[in-house]
Amino acid sequence: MITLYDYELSGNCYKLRLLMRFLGIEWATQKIDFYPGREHKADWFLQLNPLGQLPVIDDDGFILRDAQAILVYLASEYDHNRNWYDQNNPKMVGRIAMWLSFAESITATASAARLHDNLFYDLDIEKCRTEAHALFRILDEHLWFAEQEEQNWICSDKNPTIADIACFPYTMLSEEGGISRLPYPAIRRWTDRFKRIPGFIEMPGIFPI
Amino acid sequence: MAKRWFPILRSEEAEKGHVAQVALLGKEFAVWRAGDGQINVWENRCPHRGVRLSLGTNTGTELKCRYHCWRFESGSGQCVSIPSIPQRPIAKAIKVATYRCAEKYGYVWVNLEIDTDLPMVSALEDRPLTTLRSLFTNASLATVIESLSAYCFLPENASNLEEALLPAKLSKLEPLTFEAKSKDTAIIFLLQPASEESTVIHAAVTAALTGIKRLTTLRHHNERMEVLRDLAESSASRLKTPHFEPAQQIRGN
Repeated sequence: MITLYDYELSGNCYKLRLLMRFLGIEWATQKIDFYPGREHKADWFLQLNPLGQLPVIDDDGFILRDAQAILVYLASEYDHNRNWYDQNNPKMVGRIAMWLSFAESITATASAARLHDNLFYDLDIEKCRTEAHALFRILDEHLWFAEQEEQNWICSDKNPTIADIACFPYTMLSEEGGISRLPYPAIRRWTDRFKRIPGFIEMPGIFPI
Repeated sequence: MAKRWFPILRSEEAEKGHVAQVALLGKEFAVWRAGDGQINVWENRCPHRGVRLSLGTNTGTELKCRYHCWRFESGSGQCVSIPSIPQRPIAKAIKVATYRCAEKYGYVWVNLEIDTDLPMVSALEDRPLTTLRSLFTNASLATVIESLSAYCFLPENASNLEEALLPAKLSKLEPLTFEAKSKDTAIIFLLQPASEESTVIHAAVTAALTGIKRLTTLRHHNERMEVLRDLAESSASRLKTPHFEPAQQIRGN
């Protein structure tokens, strides 16, 4: 049984809830009081993840941290159809890794802006917003040209991959950090498509279609 | 300024099931296509509690507000369902502000004033067109117009790549419509003043392109238009920089 160390308002934890739901995996939740309790910085949690960050999973004793790493693991272990992460296709693996890293940049900017506005983190908010806009321009352009080739997803023309899951939450929550998506029409269409994936679940701030 | 037709979205980007969010002259609009193909350009505000309708759902016949699920019908904007009071008749006054819109030359157009004519750009009439990717630009209309003269691209029958570096010949066709011509290839710019500080640059090539040729052209102009956008945005940020020396710091005793 998988245990997810989880915080409801975390977009990174939500990525794993999404994938597990899409794959139909059962899991147990261990709630962490991220705010205001800062439980992710408690001694016992630092034993699990010395970085003091969510999420972490414990899959029958196999402990793994980092949302993107966990997406790779869960898709490789539990998606027998290889739709979400086709590890037999080297180019696909490379492309997905590239966009997982891009998702991490979205977290460092758009998610940081949200932490500043909602949980009072002391950050350079203008820098976060400017850099998030620069990333969204790149994603919007990529998705627009994908649409021209009838490709609906970030890495694949057939089905969404873990790259879409990794980029979705903090893009969709950007307005909580004061980052409008009005300039990114292709991103807005892609988020609509994402919400139509069978098994899609919500989190606070992200609504169904 | 408001009394004319403005292009606001490429027609094919008004997908069924989607609600696009668009800005024009500092106002926001929810743009959505009903299942029967009808295009709607509405004020982006639910008349009930003011929530943006672009957060809502396009059901195919109605736009459903995210907040209290009030439904407004395609065409009229009339409220047709209030789930919290299902038995009561709905007052005719409960209605979204709708705008006159049309689809022409591959774009959705809106007119904020009552006007009987359809949008008309003579340079686009009866011409084959390929619409390019529109670019949201953080620069005023005036700054974008100034930057347009620097637009350069590789014409169809170019003999070498250096021809892409020669500025195209720019002519103003109408206040918001420009043509950039290089050799025999023309590109038409249609400008959408989104706000005082932002402009959407729409553009079309006057040729019907398909397949690889179309994709190559889309990519080429996208790359050139991003250069144009960078230029407009850097002039816009220069304009914003105050032109005075910082005052000397005064030390208190």
